[in-house]
Amino acid sequence: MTDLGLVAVIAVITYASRAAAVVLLPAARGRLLEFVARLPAPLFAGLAVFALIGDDLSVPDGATLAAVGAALIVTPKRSLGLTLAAGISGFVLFELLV
Amino acid sequence: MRPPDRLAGSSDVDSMTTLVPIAAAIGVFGMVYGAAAQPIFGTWLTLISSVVIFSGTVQFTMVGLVAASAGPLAVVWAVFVVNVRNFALGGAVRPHLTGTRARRVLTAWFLIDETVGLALSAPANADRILLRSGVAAYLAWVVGTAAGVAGGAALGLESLAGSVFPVLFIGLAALMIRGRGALIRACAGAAITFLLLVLWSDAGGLAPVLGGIVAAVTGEGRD
Repeated sequence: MTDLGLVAVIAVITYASRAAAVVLLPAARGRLLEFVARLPAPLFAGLAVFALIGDDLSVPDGATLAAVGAALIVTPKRSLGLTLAAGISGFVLFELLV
Repeated sequence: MRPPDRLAGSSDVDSMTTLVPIAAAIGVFGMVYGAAAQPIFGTWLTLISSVVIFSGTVQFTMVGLVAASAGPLAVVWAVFVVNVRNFALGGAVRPHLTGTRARRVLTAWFLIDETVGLALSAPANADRILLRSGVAAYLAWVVGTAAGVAGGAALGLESLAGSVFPVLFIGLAALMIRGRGALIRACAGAAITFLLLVLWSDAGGLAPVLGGIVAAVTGEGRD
């Protein structure tokens, strides 16, 4: 298989997995709907862990930890913009001060 | 259970304040991808891969395996496994997509972690947010790849981009937490993901999906 063919196959697989979920499969109802309503919070918390340490379990650098710490502080406000701003501010402050 | 039409604190979900830093981070990762893939795939195929795949996780997996001399079947299998997460993401956002089937065919293209998170945080506007944030993310990814291929990768920004993604997911998880039960499930999802990554070295991108599913299943009726 050529590299172009490989990219094409992977593009098809990737789009098909997306489309199957939102186009081909029926919308969730009943208990399944309850499940998918419960899913986002733990899913995104898990993604945060994965984004932080990766699959090689690398220890995050100080600036990243500062960003995460600053973001966690403002999470009770439940504002995504504020969380991002706090995280970036924590990163920049760490880089400037340390 | 019917999801609420609008969540508190979600009015800024598709504002420039939210979209710009996310798009910028995605753009920086695109630059890193472009710089990493160009020596392996060449200029045009690297660009084409970002245009037709639009998935950082998939593309970095693909390049990493090809660079490690993995065979095509191994690459395709790994990509298939990575893409299993799309069923969880799609299943979560699907109940909130009210557009026509043709529109869902279009919005399916933009189904990535970040856009789904934004859409779920304001489910009444899920279609619009998925499309708007998806276009911003897609453009950032392709332009970033082009910049990386052109040798303009500002790799000094990589650490900032790497910091933005955990912050983004923390913010998205916080938006989804409504009550003590959801808080416990979020903590459980994070803990299970961590354990999976520690105990199963090949879990990779599946770990947060499995962690989220287990926490959601076992947390039934605890709201």
